[in-house]
Amino acid sequence: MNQREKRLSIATVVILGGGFLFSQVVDPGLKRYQEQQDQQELVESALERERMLSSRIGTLIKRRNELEATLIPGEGESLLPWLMGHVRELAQEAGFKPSSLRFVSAQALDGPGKDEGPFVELKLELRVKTSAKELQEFLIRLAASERHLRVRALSMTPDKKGDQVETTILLLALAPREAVRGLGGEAQ
Amino acid sequence: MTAALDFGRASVKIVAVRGGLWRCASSPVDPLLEGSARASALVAGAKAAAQALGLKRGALVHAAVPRALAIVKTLTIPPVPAEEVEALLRFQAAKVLPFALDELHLAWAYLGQAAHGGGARYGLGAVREDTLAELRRLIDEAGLRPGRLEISSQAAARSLSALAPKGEALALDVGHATSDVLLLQDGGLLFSRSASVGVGGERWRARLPQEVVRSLVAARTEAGASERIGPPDRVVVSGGGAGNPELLAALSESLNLAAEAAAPAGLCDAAGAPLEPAQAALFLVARGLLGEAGPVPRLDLAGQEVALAARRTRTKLASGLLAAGVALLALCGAAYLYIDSQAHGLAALESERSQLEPAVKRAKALRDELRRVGEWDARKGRELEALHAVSEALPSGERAYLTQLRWTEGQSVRLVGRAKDGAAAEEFFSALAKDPRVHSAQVEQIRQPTGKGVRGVEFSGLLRLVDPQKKAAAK
Repeated sequence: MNQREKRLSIATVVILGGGFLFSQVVDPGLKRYQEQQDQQELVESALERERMLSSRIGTLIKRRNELEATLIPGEGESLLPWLMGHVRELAQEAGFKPSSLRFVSAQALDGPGKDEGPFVELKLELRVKTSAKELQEFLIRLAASERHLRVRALSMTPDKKGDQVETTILLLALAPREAVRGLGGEAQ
Repeated sequence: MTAALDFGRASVKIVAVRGGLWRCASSPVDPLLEGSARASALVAGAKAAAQALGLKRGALVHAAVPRALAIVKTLTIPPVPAEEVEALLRFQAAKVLPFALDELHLAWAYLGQAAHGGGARYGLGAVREDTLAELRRLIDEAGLRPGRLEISSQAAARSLSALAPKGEALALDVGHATSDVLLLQDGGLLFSRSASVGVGGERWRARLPQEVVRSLVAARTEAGASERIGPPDRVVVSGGGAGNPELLAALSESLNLAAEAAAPAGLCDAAGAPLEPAQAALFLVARGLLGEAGPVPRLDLAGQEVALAARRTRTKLASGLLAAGVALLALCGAAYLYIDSQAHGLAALESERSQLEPAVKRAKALRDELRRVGEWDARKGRELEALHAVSEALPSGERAYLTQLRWTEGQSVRLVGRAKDGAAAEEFFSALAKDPRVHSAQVEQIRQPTGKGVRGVEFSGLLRLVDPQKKAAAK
C-alpha cells in the first residue's frame, strides 16, 4: 500500500467513522436532547399552570360554598317551596299576587342528555294579571335578586282597557343536581 | 529533469540527465572571494551553469555539502528494535560529536553488522544547521529547488565505487583549497577526511603527498586494517587535481604506485559532446549525487530532516487525533449524562404532576362550575332589555300600541299591535332598529283591520336583540 493509498484509506476510515459516530451517537443524542427539551418545556409550563390552579383550590371551594348557599335552601326546607316562595315574595314586593305558579319540569343544564354536570335547570310557570308598571317592577327585582332565577320566556297581552296586562312568564331556576333528586321529570 | 549541484572553491558544477545523457556544465568562481561576494558569485555561477543545461526555474537539484564542513563517523550500536535506533544513535552522537546536537542536522545509514560480536554499524553524518541553511539559500537564490543534501565525500565515493569495485583504493578529490581523502574497500567507503590543502594554494607539492600518506595510515587504523602496510591497490585522483600531471607524479612517488585520474564514464558537455577525462573528473561529486546508492548508502541530510519532521508531525497529529477522540468521547459521555439527568428531572416533574392531578381535577371542576353559573347569571334581565327597547321606540301621542308581545330567550321577539296609520308603525320599527340593543327590527305585516268602524292599521313584526355574550366572544 503506497502513501496515497494509505491516505485514502485513512480518509475513508475517518469519513466512515465520522458518519457512523454522527448517525449512531451524535444525531440520536441531539434528537433525544431536543425532544426532552421540548417535553420539559411543555411539562414545566403545564405544571406551572397546575400549581397555580391547585393553589387556588381553597378560594374555589369557598366560592363554590358561597354559591351553594344561594342555590339551595337551608336545612329542613324543600327546594321548590323555597324557590316559589321567593317568586311570590318578589311579586308581593312589586305589588301584585300571581294568578298561578307551578313547577313545569327539570332538566340538566345545557339540555337533556348533553351534560352530566352538577347543575339542573328547574322550569316554573308564572301567570299574572297586573299593570305594566308592576310587571316591570317584578322583572327588575327578579334580575337584581341574588337567587339564580331568570326569565326564559315572556308573553304579554294587554286587556281591552289597556291598564292590565295578562302575562305568562316561564322562569328558570338553577339548582345543584343533588338538590333536585325526587322531583321527577328530567331532573335525573 | 533531475540535476545535481556541487559548489567548489573555484567553480560551480552541475550535472543533469537529459535525453539519456549525463550533461555537465560548470561556471568558474573567483577562489579568492569571501563572504557575501563569494555567495553572490556562487549564485551567479549556479545560474549560469543551470542556464547552460536548460534547467527551468524551480528545477529540483541535489547538492553536495563540502566534506570540510561535515563530520562523518561510523558508529556501532548494540542490536535494538528499529524504533530505538534513532535514540541510541543520537545518544552516541552526543558523545562523539564536538557540537551540541541541537546545532546539527544528523543523517545516518545502516552499513552492516559489526565485524566482531553483535551490533550494527551505522554511518553518521553531521552538519551544522547554519551550513545547510546557507546552502539552501544559495540554491533558492539561483532559482532552483533544493532536493537531497549529501556530504560530498559520500557522493564522490559512490562515483568511485564504480571505478574501483575491487580491492583497496585510495581516492583523492583534490580541489583548489581543500582535498578529500577517501579509502574504499571493494567499492565501499571505509574512511574519509578533508585536508586543508589543494592545488590552488602554495606548498601543496610537499604537503599534499604527506597528507595523503598520513590519511592512509589513519584510515587503515580506523578501518581496522592497521596491519596492512604498503601502497593500496589503486590510487585515483579526481577534482581539479586530476588534470595536474605534477600532482599525479608527486603522489605516485610518495605512494610508490602510479596515480590515475578518476573520470566517471559517460559524461558529456551541455551540447552532448563527450568530456575529456580531466574535465569529467571535475564532476565526480555531482555525478555521485545522482547515482544509485549502491555500496555507499546515502546520508541525506535534507531527507533525514524531512523524515524526522514528518515523523514528528505524524506524532503530533496522532496525539492531536487521540486527544480529540478522547475529548469527543468525554463530550459524548458528558452529553449523555446531561441528557440522563434531564430525563430524571423530567420524571420528577411528571411525578409532581401526577401528585397534583387530583387537586387539579377538583380545581378544574370547581372553576368550570363557577364559570357556568356565571355565564348562566349573565343572561338575567334580557327580557327587560327587550321591554325597554320596545317602550322607548313606541311613537308618542299614543299613535301606536302593542296588543301582544312574545319573547323567548335566544329567539326573536314577536310584536303585534295597532297604529294610527302605516307611518306610525314604520316609525315604531325604525326607532327600534336604531336602538343599540337591537340587532334587527322587521315589519312583517301592516294591514287594515277587518272589523267595521275600526280605524288605524294592525301591524306585526319581529325584533332581534343583540346577544352581548356573542358580541363579547366576537371581540
